[in-house]
Amino acid sequence: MTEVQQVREDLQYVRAAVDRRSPGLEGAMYPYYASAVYVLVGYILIDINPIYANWWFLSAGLVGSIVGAIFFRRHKSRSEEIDRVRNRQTALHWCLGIIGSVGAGLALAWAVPALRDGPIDGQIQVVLFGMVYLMWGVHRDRSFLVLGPVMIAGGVVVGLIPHYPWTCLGTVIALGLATAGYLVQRDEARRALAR
Amino acid sequence: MSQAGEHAAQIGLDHLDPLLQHRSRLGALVLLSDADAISFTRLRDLLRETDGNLGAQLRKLEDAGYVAVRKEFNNRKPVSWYSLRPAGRAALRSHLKALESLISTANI
Repeated sequence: MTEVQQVREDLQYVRAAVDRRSPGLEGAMYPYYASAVYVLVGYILIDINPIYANWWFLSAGLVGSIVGAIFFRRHKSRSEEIDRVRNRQTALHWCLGIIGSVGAGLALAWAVPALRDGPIDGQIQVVLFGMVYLMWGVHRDRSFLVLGPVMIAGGVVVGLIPHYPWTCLGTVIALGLATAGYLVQRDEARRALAR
Repeated sequence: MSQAGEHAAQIGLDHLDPLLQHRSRLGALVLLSDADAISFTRLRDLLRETDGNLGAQLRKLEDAGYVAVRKEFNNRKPVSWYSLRPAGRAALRSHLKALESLISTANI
């Protein structure tokens, strides 16, 4: 075997090792499914009783964050790989994205009193969340490239739907999140088969 | 491959890092370049090597200052974490550059 052939075989070996490496988390689909339920219940509650919706978003969001952190910690101890940059980017994206969106919505409502009582403040919030989703799609998960614009458009259109507008929007977003979760699950299963 | 191509490929081969001409060592460095740290078990599974062989190859990389090893206990089990050092990253970069020129001349 010539040295060039040897190099070719070595590169194939390295390529196979890199391919075996799964970039995704084991069980990474569960946050998607949990978020779908969270969004669906919350948005239905906006139509039924907005006060309950606020409590739901706050309490379930808090519980979800704690459960998510436990899930992530357990995964980290099993994964046998440490990628601090990636973990930091994920945490910063969602924390800053959510805090920034809520903060910007509140600041807008404070600056423009007319927004406080109507549904427009909620719509702006959804559009801002849609932008956070879209950026996640640009940086990490391709399925969010569709989900983000759907959310942005939904935030605009929801004011035009006469009956149960938030339930309709919540259903669309929940379906999008469930689909994204399913795609992650399918990819994980394919990688497991390849290993 | 033509004789001129073979000659150019030989020149590319001369610029390769001798330490990284072993596929397990090259594979380990490539995998480590994309993470802060990877455990020995994970490297062994990804590279499909035996404990003894991988251990020996990683020791050579460690002796050359290309990788750093940190040992700790996780659930009472010893875990060796390997990470890439700046010298290893530089060596990998120049080795890959030499490989790239080799590939372009040899048309692998």
